[in-house]
Amino acid sequence: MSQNLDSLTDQIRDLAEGRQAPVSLAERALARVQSHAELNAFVAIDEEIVMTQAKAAQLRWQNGAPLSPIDGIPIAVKDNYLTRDYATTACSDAAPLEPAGVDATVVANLRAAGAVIFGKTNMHEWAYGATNTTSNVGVTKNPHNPAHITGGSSGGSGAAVAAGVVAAALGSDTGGSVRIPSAACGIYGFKPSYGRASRHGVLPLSWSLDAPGPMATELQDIVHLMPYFLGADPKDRSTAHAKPFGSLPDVGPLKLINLTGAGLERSAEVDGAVNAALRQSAAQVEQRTLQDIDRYFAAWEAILHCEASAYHQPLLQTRAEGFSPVTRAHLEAGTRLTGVELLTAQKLRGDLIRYLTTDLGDWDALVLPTLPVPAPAHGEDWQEFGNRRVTTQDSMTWFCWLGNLSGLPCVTLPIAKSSKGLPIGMMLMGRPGADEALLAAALRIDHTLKSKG
Amino acid sequence: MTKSLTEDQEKRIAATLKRIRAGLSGAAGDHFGEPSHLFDPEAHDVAKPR
Repeated sequence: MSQNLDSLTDQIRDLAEGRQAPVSLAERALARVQSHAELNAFVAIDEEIVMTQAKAAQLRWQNGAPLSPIDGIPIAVKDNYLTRDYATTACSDAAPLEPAGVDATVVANLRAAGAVIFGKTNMHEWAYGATNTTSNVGVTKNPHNPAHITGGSSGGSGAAVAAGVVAAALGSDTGGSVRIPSAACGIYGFKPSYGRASRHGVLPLSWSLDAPGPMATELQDIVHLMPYFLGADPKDRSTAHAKPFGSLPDVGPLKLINLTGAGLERSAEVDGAVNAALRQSAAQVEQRTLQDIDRYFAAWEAILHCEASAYHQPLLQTRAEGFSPVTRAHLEAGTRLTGVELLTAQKLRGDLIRYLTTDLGDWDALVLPTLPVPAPAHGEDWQEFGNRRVTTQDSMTWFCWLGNLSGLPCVTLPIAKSSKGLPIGMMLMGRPGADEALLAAALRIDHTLKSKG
Repeated sequence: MTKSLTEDQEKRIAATLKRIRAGLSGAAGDHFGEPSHLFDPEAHDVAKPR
């Protein structure tokens, strides 16, 4: 794995100071794709498409007229975002193979700012899983140890950033798919609040749970990218009242709530790392027990399967064999849930949001590990921790789904390494719509932890 | 013609539904609370100046 990676923030500074040029950034990224080919992070990359964008950006910088501070910076894109130049396959044989000819809104925003849309990254088929081991182009490998998984479903984006191919990449998150591979690969990942980021052009998994989000080398990189994600988009009605990304608020003393309880178990190693980080955070930390996890998880799973089945009905009826066996089983399960069950799930969803935002009182961030275990090895079907034995798939979404069911913004920070040298991440959840406040709190904590080594 | 599901897929579906229904059956909470489905008619009125 590459060490001392250039962050997006470094690249912005270097471009502004003339110490880097878009063409050299693109050439270096293309070389790193080759040198890290064993990770299988990319589904599609076209050198000509990349260099054409980079040369245009370089000309703009030479003319003193860059489109933005990120003009000419390569950014990789998960293969469920529509992109003008590349096909969008969701790593499934059930998807059409023709380029859409249009960009997803987030991609369009980045392209308008001059970012080099670098290539499409490997993902768990249709984002319907969190291991990145089900993909029609094969598994993705973890840059920290290729014998281990990246997590998913944005596993290619996680591997590409962690290996230093690109400083930042796009992911999408329905039950943790930005945060899971970010934590497993030791980088930063952010899931915006529901209703603030446009999902237009990102192939849906579950409309009301999905969120597009950035994955990057440093937390400040996320701050640089948020303006391209947040704000009203007429093509996504959920964002009708969305505010654009604002300035980060000043944060006073932080109050964190460390959530525990049955269903929130984690390995001793992960628990130790999170507790150590909280002790060092200089924040006020209160521990609270979250009840009824099994009910809330059932609500998340019911909504997920019902919405995914509804979206995929046409393909399910005409190209069902194109789905992997497990994905098809998920979709069929969704067709067998009733309307009453879906509404019961939505009622539980409201209960959870009220509990987290109101009943827990005043807080700046809710804290959980991002994953209960470090990245599992390829071929491990089960994980054991805290007197639990669960599938590797379930272990990956163990905590993260809470952020999607509630719609709260979430960020994962790398906080430690395991005894085997694998990254451990800590997740912070913020108040709904308060993405800037969450980032401000996360920056404070990240800075404090780094300053204490 | 779409192939029928395998035995393994049927078992997986049954296990998924059993897990979901076990969780939902315990739902209590606010009896009068409305489900949190989103419905914002104004958001769909794209012709309306904003």
